Amino acid sequence: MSSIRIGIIEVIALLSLLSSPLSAQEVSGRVTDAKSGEALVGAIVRSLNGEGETVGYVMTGKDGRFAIQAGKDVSAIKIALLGYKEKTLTPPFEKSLMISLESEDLRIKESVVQARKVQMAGDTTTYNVKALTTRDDLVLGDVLKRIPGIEVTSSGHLKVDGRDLGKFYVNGKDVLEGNYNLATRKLSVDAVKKVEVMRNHQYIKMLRGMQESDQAAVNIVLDEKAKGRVNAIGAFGGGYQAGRPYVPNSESATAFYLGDGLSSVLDAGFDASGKPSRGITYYRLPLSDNRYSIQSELNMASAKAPLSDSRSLFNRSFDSRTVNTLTPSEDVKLGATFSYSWDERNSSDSRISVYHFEDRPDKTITRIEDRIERNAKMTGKISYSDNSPKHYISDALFADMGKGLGNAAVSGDYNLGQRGERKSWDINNNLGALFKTGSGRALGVKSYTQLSGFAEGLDILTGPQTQDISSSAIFEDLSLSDISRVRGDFSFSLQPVLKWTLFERSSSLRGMTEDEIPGRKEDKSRASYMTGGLDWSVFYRKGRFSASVRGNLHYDRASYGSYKTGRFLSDESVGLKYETGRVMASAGGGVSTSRPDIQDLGSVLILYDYDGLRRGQESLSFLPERYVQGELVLREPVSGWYLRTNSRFNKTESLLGGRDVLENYILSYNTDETVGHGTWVSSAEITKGLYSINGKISARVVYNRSSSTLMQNGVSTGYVSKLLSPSVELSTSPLNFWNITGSAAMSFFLTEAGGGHVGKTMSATASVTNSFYLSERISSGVVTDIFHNSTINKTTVFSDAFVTWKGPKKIRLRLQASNLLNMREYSYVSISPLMETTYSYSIRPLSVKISADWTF
Amino acid sequence: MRCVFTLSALLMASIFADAQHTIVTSESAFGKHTLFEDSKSPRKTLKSADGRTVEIEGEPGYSYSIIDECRIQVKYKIFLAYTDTPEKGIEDDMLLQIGTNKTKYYSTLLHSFDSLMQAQASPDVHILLAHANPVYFHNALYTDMVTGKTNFVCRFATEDFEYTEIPPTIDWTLSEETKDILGYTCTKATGGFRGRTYEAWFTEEIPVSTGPWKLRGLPGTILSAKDSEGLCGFEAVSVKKGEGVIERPEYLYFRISRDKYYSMLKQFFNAPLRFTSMHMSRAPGIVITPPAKETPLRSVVQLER
Repeated sequence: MSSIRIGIIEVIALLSLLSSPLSAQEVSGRVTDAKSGEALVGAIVRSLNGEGETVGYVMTGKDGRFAIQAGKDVSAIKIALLGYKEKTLTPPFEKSLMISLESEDLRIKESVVQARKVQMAGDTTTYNVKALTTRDDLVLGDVLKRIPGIEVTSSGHLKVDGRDLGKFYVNGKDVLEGNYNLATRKLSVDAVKKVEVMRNHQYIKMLRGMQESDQAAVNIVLDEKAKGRVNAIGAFGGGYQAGRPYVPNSESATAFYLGDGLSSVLDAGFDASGKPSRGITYYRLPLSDNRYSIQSELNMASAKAPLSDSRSLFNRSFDSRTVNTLTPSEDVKLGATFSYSWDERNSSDSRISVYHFEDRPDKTITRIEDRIERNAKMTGKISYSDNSPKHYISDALFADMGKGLGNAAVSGDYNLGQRGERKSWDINNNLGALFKTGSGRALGVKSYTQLSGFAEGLDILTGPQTQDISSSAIFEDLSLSDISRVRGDFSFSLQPVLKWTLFERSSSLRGMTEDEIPGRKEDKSRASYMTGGLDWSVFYRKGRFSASVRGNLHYDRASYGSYKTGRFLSDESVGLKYETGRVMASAGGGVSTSRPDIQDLGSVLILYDYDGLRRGQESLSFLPERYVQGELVLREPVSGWYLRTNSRFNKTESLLGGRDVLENYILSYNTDETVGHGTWVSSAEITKGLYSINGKISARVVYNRSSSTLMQNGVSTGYVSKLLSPSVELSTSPLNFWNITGSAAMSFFLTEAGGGHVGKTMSATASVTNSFYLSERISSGVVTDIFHNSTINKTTVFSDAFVTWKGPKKIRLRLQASNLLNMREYSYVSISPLMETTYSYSIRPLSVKISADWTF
Repeated sequence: MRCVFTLSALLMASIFADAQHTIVTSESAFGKHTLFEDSKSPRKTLKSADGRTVEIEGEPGYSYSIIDECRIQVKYKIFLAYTDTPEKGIEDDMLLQIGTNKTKYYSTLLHSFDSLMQAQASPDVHILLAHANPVYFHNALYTDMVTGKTNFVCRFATEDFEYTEIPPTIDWTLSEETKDILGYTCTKATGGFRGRTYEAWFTEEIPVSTGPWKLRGLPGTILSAKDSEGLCGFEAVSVKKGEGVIERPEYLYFRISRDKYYSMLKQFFNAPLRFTSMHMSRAPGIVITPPAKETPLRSVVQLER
């Protein structure tokens, strides 16, 4: 029977089958409370058949009365009401029933459906952190890294769909600004209830509905328990190492107070177990991170070795930072940030480079470098912003001071000892204001001002040479903007821009002969650069489709020493996009005509990058460029599927390469000039979030092809390098007590120099952590890092083991043995069309460490 | 959101500061009530039917009347599709409080109330409102399970409205199909109500003939219901023992008819600012100037056709 509705035909048929007038009987009655005798209203009276299925039902009326059909098929009548014991009556039924029900305690099966892990509404995807946390997660970043489409970098910053995150909000307020990585790395996962990922987020409130943004933002919604109180993590640990420094140790504490009007974070830590300082950035050789990335110019083999800092760094570092924000109202924010860091490191590495030439035999150069470096840096910032639907005003004043000391001893094919000391300071102010003038129009002004100073003394210890460099720079970037919505579908913006830089540098070289550095004993140089022009953009949106055309027209004037130039330059680009909640497809291209390589000059001027100076990037170069790119993103956040593919092709016309000062006068090269350079990069990623076990699996492949034409001593040669790199990342629990997290990657690299030399290398790396839960509190695991490179035909294996105990009151203890196989040296090969270089590093020996962390 | 809610409460308090000594009576489905008693302390101690003492907090200047004790609380997730893109819609958390004879069904979330408040501050509001969801908070449906009478209350801008009716009985057809929802064995039933055909799942294990909104009349509590076109649906997400009492805030309600409510709702959707500006009688001093041409709010399907 699929329905109990009885039609007229069935009734007649039924009646005709019945012989007894009582068989189609109506039963009536009254239901009362057994104790008080009061009529019970709304009691449910059901008639059931032989299988226990309901065939009819009625509810008792105001006086407790009811009437129900009870034919031959009815084998029971049940009377039920909330708060009373159910009564069952069996045939034969009296025509009129008096039923009294006994009251009982309310019996309710309390149940709550599992909170949904992921919800999507338009551009916002909400992740329920409580439901996505696993037993190993301690901080917010542990959960974020398993979300498809989100990447957590080593510093704790986030990338969404491959692009840097725009804004990070805590309960809707931007209280951490650029320091949000403190929350990713140190905010306890228990303090967070939900994470909202908002794509196409326009953080300037008055521009919403006027100017679109393709930036992503993340908002964390705090748990009720975490609001208005201090959430902190403290950790300390120490141990024994079978080599210097014999006692590695580290201590750190981070406290968050995230209240309604005031937010304050304090973070401090000391480390002598291989963690680099986060406040001091060094020029790093591309070995320290664990990921694959593409370098688009004259490619170096990018199979990155799994050599993390904790294995190769011999240093002591100290970091402290405080971020404070006051939000007296919904729109206004006042901030003050201060940080102080220092880092002392000893490092030693060797480099064997083999250079390939067309016209002469290969040359091998060996260089072993031992360094002791000490750096310290202090920064401070105060800021104000008023981000309301009517206007946007913001100002930030930033200052920093740093100093460093370094000793380096170079041996091998040439011997050199160097001692250097440097000091730098920098003050900058960033002002922005935007106002609404009428319906759909906004006017604004932006001004960035910077003053920097830098001084360095370099002493060549093995010879008479010394060098003193001091430089100072002033930089101003002023722009006005006019943003309008012309009609419903079109909006455009105009931005007159004026940039101006004045840079002065004086350097004196002593103790060098004329032959070594012709005419450069004393040097005072001045560079100035000014550009003025107009940036414009037109934007069109129709439903899910949008198009944009951008460009700029500038007049540039640059003067550097005797080099002077003034010219008109323009750039144009076009972009198309189709976007729904689940799909994002975009394509675009652009042309950028010759402009001075302000980045090189800029990196020297603005960032006082000593290494840039050392690499000899002093000349102004021109980088005309054409590019075409396309991207496709498909996502289904609720089921966890995510697919992203993008491709880009760049073609530049000329590049004035840098001269390496040292190598230059050894190898008697003049200038390397590349004429014609094209790069193609393509990548595809597919990720599936495994929500049922709070895991993730991801596969990625990157393809890169670079080709350049090099001019060497008047002869032009072509070089091509190709890279194919598939990789996979996994985080899953195959069995309840076993968790496996890891990544594996391979890289196939090929380089061809026109006219002969072909270089090939293959690298493979895998990094896997297997954890086993022996009980609810104790877990143990093994970390294995493997790296293999075909050129040196060597496989390196690192292995660590750990045991973790989760104590009461959120204390965790961990015993870890690192580098169980006691590897002391690590070698790695990097190839390019011009040379092959084998790098060797010292590795920290076997060590045992016990550490504790406490969350409160 | 919290500071905006406080603003509205303060707004209301300031309006009625002068009316503190006023005593107004009104008659509604649940009998005569006294409104705006002079209550210096916003907290009230009341006795419930079984002798328990309960403390409730009221908005300054308002009183609450106790309808019934709350025996069971069922939380539902309601889905109402957008009329332009039916696969997307708004979601809300609704609470059904079941008493001995009465039930209360209401929204537990705030939707775009604060963005409407923001609208008052800026002339260029049409953009903001285009993204706002309909205002459903302050809506509540009180049902008398004995008589079948329902009393619906809602707030538009600063004015409260109510209509009372006995909705038509739903002619349910039971099926043999059963499934488990939240640990309760539920049976399927289909029935039509005001232009929509619903597929409902009810459980005899909670022997009260009730359900979300106006869906009732089955020999048990309805834990899930969705319409045949998939445009609206209710899904129970938790069943808990009731806490305290079921209360009804005694605002000054304007009596209207059900048809009038739906026509007002339609006017609100078509021109939210113009409509809001016409119902600001309880907030003197606040002026809304609607633009000449307003963008209507994104319309959502209505439960009753």
